[in-house]
This record gives sequence, structure tokens and C-alpha cells, in this order.
Amino acid sequence: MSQRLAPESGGAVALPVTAGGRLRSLLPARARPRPGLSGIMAVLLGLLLVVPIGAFLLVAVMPRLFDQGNALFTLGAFGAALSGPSLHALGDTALVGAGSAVVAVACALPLALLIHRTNLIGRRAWTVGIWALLLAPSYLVALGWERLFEPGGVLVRAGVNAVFIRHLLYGPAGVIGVDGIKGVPFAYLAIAAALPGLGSSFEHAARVHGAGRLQALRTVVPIIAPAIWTSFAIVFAESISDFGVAATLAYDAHFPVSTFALFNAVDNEPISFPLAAAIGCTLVALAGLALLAQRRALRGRSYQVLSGRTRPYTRHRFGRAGQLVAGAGVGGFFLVALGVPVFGAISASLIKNLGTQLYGFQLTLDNYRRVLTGSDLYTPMLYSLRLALIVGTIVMLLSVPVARLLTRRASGPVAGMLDYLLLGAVALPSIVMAAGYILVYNLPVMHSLGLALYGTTTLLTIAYVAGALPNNSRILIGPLAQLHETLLTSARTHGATGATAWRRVGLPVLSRFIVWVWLYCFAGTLLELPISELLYPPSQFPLSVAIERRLSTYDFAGGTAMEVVAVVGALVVTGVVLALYRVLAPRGWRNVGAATS
Amino acid sequence: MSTPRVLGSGEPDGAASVQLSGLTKHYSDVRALQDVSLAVGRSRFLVLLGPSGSGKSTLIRCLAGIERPTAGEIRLAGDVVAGGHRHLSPERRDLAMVFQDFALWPHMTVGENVQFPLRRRKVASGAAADRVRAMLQRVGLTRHAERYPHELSGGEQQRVALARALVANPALLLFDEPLSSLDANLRERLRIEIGTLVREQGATAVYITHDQAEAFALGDEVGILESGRLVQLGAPETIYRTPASPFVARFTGLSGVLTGRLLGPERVRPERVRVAVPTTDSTRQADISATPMAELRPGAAVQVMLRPTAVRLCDPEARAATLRAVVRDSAYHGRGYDYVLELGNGLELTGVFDRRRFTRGETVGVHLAAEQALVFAQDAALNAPPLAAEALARSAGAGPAGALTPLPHAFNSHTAEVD
Amino acid sequence: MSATSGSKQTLLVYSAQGYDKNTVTAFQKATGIPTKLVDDSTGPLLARIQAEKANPQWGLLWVDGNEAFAALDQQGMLKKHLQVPALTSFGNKLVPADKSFVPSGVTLACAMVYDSHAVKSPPTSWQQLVSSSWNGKIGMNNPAVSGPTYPCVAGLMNYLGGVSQGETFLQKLKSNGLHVSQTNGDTLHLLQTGQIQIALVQTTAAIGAAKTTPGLKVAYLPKETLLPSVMGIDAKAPAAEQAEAQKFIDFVLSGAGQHQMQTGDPTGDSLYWPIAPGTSPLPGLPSLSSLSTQTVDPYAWGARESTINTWFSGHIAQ
Repeated sequence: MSQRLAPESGGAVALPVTAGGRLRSLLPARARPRPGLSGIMAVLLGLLLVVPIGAFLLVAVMPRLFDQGNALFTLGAFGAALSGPSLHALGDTALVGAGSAVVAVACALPLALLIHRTNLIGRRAWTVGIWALLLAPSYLVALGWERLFEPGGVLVRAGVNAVFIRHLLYGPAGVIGVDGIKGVPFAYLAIAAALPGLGSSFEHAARVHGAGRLQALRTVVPIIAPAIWTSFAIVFAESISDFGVAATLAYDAHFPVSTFALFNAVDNEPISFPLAAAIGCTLVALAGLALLAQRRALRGRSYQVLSGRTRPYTRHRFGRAGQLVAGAGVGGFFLVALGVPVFGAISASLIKNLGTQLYGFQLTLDNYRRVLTGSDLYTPMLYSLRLALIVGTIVMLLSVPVARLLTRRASGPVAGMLDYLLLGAVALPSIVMAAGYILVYNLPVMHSLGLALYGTTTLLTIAYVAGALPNNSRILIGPLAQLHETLLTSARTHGATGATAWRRVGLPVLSRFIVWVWLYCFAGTLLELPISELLYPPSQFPLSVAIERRLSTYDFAGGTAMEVVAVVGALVVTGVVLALYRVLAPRGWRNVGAATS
Repeated sequence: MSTPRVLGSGEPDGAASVQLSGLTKHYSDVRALQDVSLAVGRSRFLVLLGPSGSGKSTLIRCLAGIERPTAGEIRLAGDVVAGGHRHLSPERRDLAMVFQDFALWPHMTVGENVQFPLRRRKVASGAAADRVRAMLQRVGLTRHAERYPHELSGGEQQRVALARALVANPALLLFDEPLSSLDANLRERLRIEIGTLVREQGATAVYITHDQAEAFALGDEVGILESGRLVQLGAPETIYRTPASPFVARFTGLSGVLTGRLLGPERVRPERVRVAVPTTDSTRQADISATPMAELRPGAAVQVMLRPTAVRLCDPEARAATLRAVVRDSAYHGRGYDYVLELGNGLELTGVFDRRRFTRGETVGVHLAAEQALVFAQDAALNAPPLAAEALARSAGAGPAGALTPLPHAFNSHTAEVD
Repeated sequence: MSATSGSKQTLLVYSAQGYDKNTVTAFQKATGIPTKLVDDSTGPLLARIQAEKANPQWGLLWVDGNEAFAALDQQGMLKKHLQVPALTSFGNKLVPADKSFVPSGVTLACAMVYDSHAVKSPPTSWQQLVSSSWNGKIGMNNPAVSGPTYPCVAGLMNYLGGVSQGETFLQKLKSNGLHVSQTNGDTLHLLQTGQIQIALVQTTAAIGAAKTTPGLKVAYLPKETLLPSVMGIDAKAPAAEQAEAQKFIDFVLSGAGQHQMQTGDPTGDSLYWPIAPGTSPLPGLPSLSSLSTQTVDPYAWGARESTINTWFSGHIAQ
């Protein structure tokens, strides 16, 4: 007991030597001498994100390095990116990002509260709705709206010429609305993840101390302010990097945004990687501003509120009238968010000579027959399914340590850098990342290094992982921040190694969210478009590329039918995985943070 | 629906601060509360004691207005706040509550937390600030007004919760196991603070806990809840001396339970009975004097529930030694020792206090004080006590009305009666 | 990817043709040469080639529009002096002097496809398009996005006497409510939903749409610009792959190859005018000689492509 630790391991802190090893392992990461989790993750993220993206962004100022111009160093690309149409697009992008973040949080907060904190009827169905919305590619949502409201669209045929709505839709309001609706699941998930920390007693305390229902809500909602600010940041970043809406609704509305300007620069004549890179830089800067704003808002306000002491919350019980009003509100939201695009897609897939007003409104299953009998669907479907399973699993395994690095308080500058890096990567459009992959993995030096991965399924997989990791890690930050450090350290003091502590304590507490990450990543990969488009290996079409081929050969009905089949497939997998989780996960895992009825 | 029992200095029902009539709460198929009726007089301190699942949380949440009762009525200061179709929301009941998990809003400072009820009651900000300051001073947290809850210790957090509950001077104070998440030392100190502050304020208080010591220390009255029913209500002393059921006895502190058969009908004193209990020697039994808690027929299988104060140690050969026991464990705590004694047959007596030191393994005599040895009928679920075979045979032969004769060779089979 | 597999080099074909998949399969079957296909729109394929400039992957490029090939040739990215298979005399006129690319067929850059219910007498001259009677009723693609649209714009400028005259005319078209979309599909969708009444698109798309959508008809303006489908070989590809690419060109212009081209996309790209001797156009195509056509110099107009597309994106498409 009187022996002291060697000075290098404890400094002034005197610890009994027998316990020294274990105690040292409990110290913050930077006190550990061996390269820890942070180091490994930093290297991994470096290879996945920093190098390709860095190289790509470098093209903006040093095009000659990659044989994309003559200048060794130039700011010309930035000049172009910050003037004329590109600048105009940047302004629109900022507007869309901010507007859609507000729309998304304004919808997601009441949704999360209603679904998680009340006995609202149909909660499971609404949750499935959130997932469906998350799965739906943004271009599908946008096209659904267009199909309904465009001139000669479904409504016009039905005799309703909703000029006012069309006018709104084909403009900033429409783009913000669709991007905002697409952002709702992100905000919802972040907020829902934080809700278990918002034990009912906070609200009850407000009620018994004199606050009415709304005042009580106003009192307790700031407790989940970190999740709300995170939601703003995520939706902002998602919206400014979205390409699906940019390429469809925004384009048709003659409302140019940065991602589309960037796409134009790499996809069209004249091709200019330096200009695309410069536009990419402006987008990252915009996301950086969002992150800074979030940081400022959160300064000193990280509430670790889910500890052993937190008691399960109880649901507010609606009466019949309350059920009716709340149900109508939630139902109305999903009608707008999902009903419209689903109706658009399904009606589109069932119509013969879709889009023509010249001939009658003929319903047919012929499009499905064509799609289901040809190999055009099966081969890409199986290919994407395989990739989605692999990518979902890899991202699931990587996102936990990454998110943990981000939430650990004492992990110092590495975590700070990671945070910026990951938020930046969320904001960086996938198509930019893919272009970066082409540049880097196509360099002659890569060939001499034996890393000639360009044009292979391996590179496509890596790019999917790199594209999905930032977002998924950020999704896990909420729940992880709620995971009180003592839950883990207590496991370690009970003799578990770090890994065991995670397996036995961290994992069960987070299991629900980890399953969500897998599902989200799986579905996202299944229908991913921009990365697939730039990086698919010769003759191997991912599902989205195959669908896009259909659409670009004017087979809107066939393409939409393929989309419907793919989305239904993704939903089936989601259902199976959630059912398996219900059956296989120990009861205690599922109950963490769950409401008592 | 039973008539409400009014507690405290014989006030009429109408003046009761809290009055529950037939309060019932069901959650789908769980009956959390069944037909609970009681009344609490103004400025009285009621503690509801019960194990988890006994319905005490439900009761206090119904009082607070967080839960809506399935049936029955709640009156606060004479006004119906719940009953029939009426359900007054919590903020309109003029009460305050201290929560088990403190429920301090983590995004507000200590000062803001405490000021909250004043703001809701529209107290002018200057006056409110003064009251917050005064309140924080009373709980000794003046220096912490600008801190956030997570920067405080558990005890300090609970003091903030207490200050928040008291600051607006509500008519009714509710305490939901406020000390259960604190350590023992702190628990005692805070318990005293709660008692003092609440009585200073003159507020009516309803306090729930599963800790008997806490209940007896705080309550003017103590109510015992079992499976959603109020099974006894009374002053702590009454409950200790005359528990209404074995459950109440068990829950309010026992050293151990002996099973035996009631002897009789002859009694040493009218309020005492004699019970034959088995000893370590399977052929012998002891004859002890105890206090009956119910009407029992001689020969009935009974259980003798021993309050810790009923058990005293003596020389094993002394006349007063009713039973013999072996010292299993001893815990020294200043004033004396707490012993665990083994009687044989797996029976143990715990929490037996004596100033003297006995070593582990030593055989001691046990003297049982009849007043705190409480006799109840044997639980139907349990088998008849394992009495000596001979005694059983005689008892059977003697017929139902016959008395068990003490065995002549039973060791020290003297009736112990110490006043 | 370009490493040898067994004894034979894999040929990598970048193509935007609707009939490329079956043609590549047939080629592989006929010759045993392992062939892989990257099928995409012309714009993305050219972008891909630019991105891979430091380390080219492609062996053969097969897209519409000889201007793009001329531009690649000027950058030294095409193998010169290819062996040109036997072509019709008309086809031979489309082969450049340095034989750096070979046409496989011919289409027209901007035919008019119109809604015959709304339009009883379609315009017969370019100038009519800017008259107020067609205000807001005409759509076309953005040449920066849609590969085959640049030749349309270039041909229009050539016909009107130069770049500046062309720009003036396009400005007038824009003032007259021109709808600019990304691709043929988008423009045809506008037509089919009644948002426009006339679409200026490539003949393959126009005739295909008229074939599949009752009520749509095709009309031609004077001096329609010829738009050949073209093949070229990567100058930096390994010699073995270049030899295989040459075989691919030979195959495409053979009877078997022409059969594949004419059957692969019967309501789209297969609707071209063949230039391989002995192959007739598909039924439904008007005789090419009956139409008024022009050819633009791919080298002159190819060199201007970037500038004109940038101008179009900035001034007309916005």
C-alpha cells in the first residue's frame, strides 16, 4: 500500500501499485503511452477521407499536380467559384440549408415527442414512416412532387390545376420544403436518441411547480438542446450537400444550387475539376460555419443526463380528442412527406405512356412485368444488395469507435479535428468525394504502389464506407453522449478490459442505435447514386445506376417501377432486421431508454 | 368505500388538508391502487411506507396530478381536484414535489431552478430574487446559486430540489423517496433537514419511502401500503406496537420469526398468551410468553414476530433465558454491539443489541420480552411448525380445545415475563 | 484493370450508345476478346476521361458527335491513322484526315418533335422559332450536359453565319421563352406533359418518341446538322488493347455489328442512318438524301465547344 507508482505514469498522483495498471487504463486516452483508438481511427479516416478529399480540394489551387491544368498554383478557380452563377448558387445553397434545417427541426421535434412520449396510436407505423422517409432517395421525393404538380401531371389530369402550389413548389419554397422533409429523419433520430435522457420527472417537476403543459414543454425541451443543435447542423449539412433535389426540382425550378454547379463542372463540357474543387471548398466552409454555430450554442452545455439514476419515463396519455388532434397532425405530416412522393412514384409506375397528356390515363402492371422478368433489375439488385450488406456492417463496426472519440471529453485536439472533419465530410457532396477517389486512385503513383483500385468493386465499397461513415458516426453521437462514462468505468473496475466493458455494457446500451445505423447505411447504399455513378466498375451496374439508365432512356414508368421494387426490398430487409433484433436481443438491451407504458 | 380515517388532532373531515376517498388506479390489468381512503390534517406530516410495487408512487403521483385516478376522489383543502370527470392539472393544485431523481433542470442554474415556482406564480422578480436568496440560505447553498446542477454533489442537488419545493410556500409538499439515491450519512442529515424545514414552514406533507426508519423518524402518521391497499394507518408508535398484519410487522422491523402453537387457555396476564416453540433439541420445545395481535384459538399454528427490542441476551444458565443461541456475528458501533444469533433449525435473530461483548461461536441465553413478541396466526402458505413429535401426539390426543402441557424435561421451560 | 488476363488484354469500351451492351457482348462472342463496357451519358464519359487523364483506363470511346473526338485528337489523346473499314462514300466524308476516329452511323442533331394535337403546322424555318406564336412552347437540351446537343448549337451557329450571330439568335429564343433541360428525356417529358409543344432533339430520340407516343410527330428544319456516332482509340492504351479496339471498329462496321446496332435500341439509338455499305436504315426513317443537311467542321467547332457551352450555361440555361 505504501509503494508509489513510477513517476512517469502518474505524476503527482499516488496510486497503490497493485491497482496501478487498471487505474492507468482508466485515465483519458492521451495519458496512455500506446497508440490508442484515436490513433488508429485517425489513420483510417485519414486514408478514407482526408487524402482523397484533400487531394481533390488541392486541385482547386494546384491543378498541375494532377494533370488538370497548367498552373502550379492559382486562385483562378476560387475566383470563378465566388463570382457569377457559382456565387449565386452558393447563396441559394445557404438559403436552402438554413431553411430546410428550420423546417426539419420544426417537424421532427413534435414528431419525436409525440411518438416517444405519448400513447399516440400507431407509433410503430409512424416510426416505420420515418424510416421510409430516410430510405427514400431525395430525387425520388422530389420527382414524386413534380409528377403530381407539374403541368400535365396527375393533378392536372384529375382536373385540379393547383397553380399556386406549383408556383411555390417550383421555387425556393419547394426546394426548401422537400429538402426540409428529407431532413426530418435526421433531426428526428438525433432528437429521439436524446429523449431517454429527458426523464418524465423533469416535466413533472415543472408541472407540480406551477407550469402549464406548454410552459412545462418549454422548460424541459432545452435539456435536449444539444440534440436540437446537432439536428440543425446535420440537416443544414445534408441539405447543402444534397444532389438529388438539386438535380431535379431545383434544376427544373431554375433555382441553381452549389452541388449542381459543382456537378456541372465535373460532368459537363467544359470539364473543370479545379472549379468543382473550389465550389466544394465553399460548401465545406459553409458547413464549417454551421459547426461553429453549433459549437457556440453548446458551449458548456453538454448535459450527461442518462445515468443509472434516471428513471424510465412514462408516456403522456391522450384522451380521445387528443388522439384525434395529434394523430391528424402526424398523419398530415406523413401524408405530405411520404404520401405525395409515394403516390407520385406508384402512379408513375402504373401508368402507360407516363407523362403524356395526349393519351388516356391507362393503368397497367406492364411496367412491373417488364422489370421483374428482365435481368436488368436482378443483376444490379443482387450486386447492390451484396455491397449494401458489406458496407452496412463495416460502417456499423467503425462508427461506434469514431463516435466515441467524438464524445470523449478528454480526448483533446484529435477529437476536435475529427469533429470538424466529419461534419465537413457530411457537407461535402458525395460526388466530390467520388471525384477525389478517381483523382487519387487513378494517379500513376497508385499503380506503382499496387493500389490500382480505380474501376474495381473494392474502391466502390471503400467510397461507400467513406461516404456513409461521417453521417452514421454523427447519428451515434447523441446516444453516446448520453451514455454516462461511469457505466463504462464501473464495468472496467469490475475487472472487464476496455473491450469487454464495451461489449458487456456499452454495446447493450447502444444496441438499438447501432442496429439503426446498420439499417440506415444498408438502405442508403442500396440506392446511393452519386458515388455509384462515378465509381461503378465497368459492366457492373449498381441498382441506382441501372434505374438511372431506365429513366434516362425515357422509360420513366419502368425506372419508377424498379425504384418501387427496390424501396419495397429495402423496407422488407428493415422489417426483418428489426424483427430479428426483437427476437434475438436480450430483453435488457431493448429496454434501455424505452418507455414504460 | 370505506370512511376516510382522519389523522391528527381530531379535526373534522372538511378541514383536512388532503383527503382521499376510495382512490383506485388501474394500469390495464395491474391494480396499482385499490380503494385507498385517508385524510391528512393541516400541517401534518404523513409518511406512506411500502415495498416497491405497493402503489405508493402511484398514490403520490395521483396526488400531484401526474396520474389520473381510475376511481375515487381526491380533495385538497376541501376542493375536489380529482374525481368523477374532474381532473385538476398539477400546476393548479398549489403543491410542490421533491423527486427521487431530483429532477433538477440541467440547463438552469441552481438559482433559476429555485426561482421557477415563483416565476410561475407571477411573483415580482425583485421579491422573487430575495426569496430565492433566503431559501438558498436556509438550505446552505447561497454560494452555489450560479452553478449548474451537475456541478453539485448528490446531497447538494437534493437540497436544491428541497429549496425549489419550499420556496413558493405551497399548501402541500410531496416527497417521492427523496433520499433513496443518497448515501446513508447524507440520508440521515437530509432527513433531519427535511423534517425541520417542513415543520418550520407549517406545510402539510406527504412523503413516500420504503425505509421504515425514515418513515418512523419523519412521520406524524405512517401509512402502510401493501399491493395497492392501505393496510394500516397510525402513529409510528402504534404501528410498532400493534401492527395490523404480519406484513406490517415484517415491514416495520423484525429481529426474527418463531413458529409455534398457541398454548392456553390459562394466561399469566390477560394481554399475554403462551406459545410453544421448538428448540435446537428436536425432542424439546420452549414455552414463551407473547402478545397476541389477533383472536387465536389455543392449539392454533402461530408465528411469533420478534421486534429487535424483544430480544435480550443473558447467561445461558440464567432463569430468564427462554432459548439458547449461538453468536454468529457481531458488529460494534460505539454504544454496543449488534448481534446475529443462530437458534438452530436455520432460524436466525438479527439486529440484537447488547452493550456487552460476546465472542462469535459463544452460546448465549436469549430472553424474549413478551410485549415486543407479537403473535399472529400462521401464514396459510406455511406448514405447521416443526414441533417435537411427542408434543404433537399429545396435542392431537387432547383434542381441539385441549391445552398443550409444557414438557417437564424441556430445558428452561419457564415462562419469561419481564416488565 | 488493364493488366493482362491470361493471354488476352481486356478491352475497355466507354460508350453512350443505346445498343452498346449487346454489341459488346456479340463482339466478345465473335472474337473471344474479353471486353468490358462502361455505359454512361456522353458528358459523364468525357468527364471520366478527363479525370483519368493522368492514367487513362479506356481503350475505345464510342459516343455521338465528332466535335468531342476532334477536341480529344487536338489534345493528343487519340490514336491516329486507324484502319478505316469500307464505308459508303457519304461515310468516308466524315473521316478526318489523320484518321483519328471512325464514324459508325449518322443521325441529325436537332429534329423537331411536336405535339400534333396542339401544333397543326410546325415551323418550317429557324427564324420562325423566335416569333411570338411559339412563345414558351419550344424546348431543347443544354449542350453542356447533353452531348448530342452541342452539334445542334454548333450547326445552328454555322448556318446563321458564325458564333456571334448564333448567340444573338439563341438570346432571342431565350427571350421567347425557350425551355432548357438537361437531356433528351427531360425535354421530351416537357413535351409529353404539354409544357412545351416543340422539342428540338436528336433524330434518334425524336423518331423514337414519335414511334412510342401516339400524337407526336417529327419535322425537319432546313440545313439539319449531321451528327455521326463515332469511335476512337486511346492513344495511351497498350498496343495489344489498341489492336483489339481496332478489331472492335471492324466488327461494328461489319454486317454482324450493324445488325447489333440496329436491334439493340429499336426505339432510340438504333434509328440511325447506316454508313456501312449494304446496310439499309430501319423502316420509319426518312431517306437522308430527301432532307436538307449540312456538315460542320469538327476541328473548328470542337475547339470552340468549351467556350460555347460555358456561354450557353451562363446565358441561356439559367
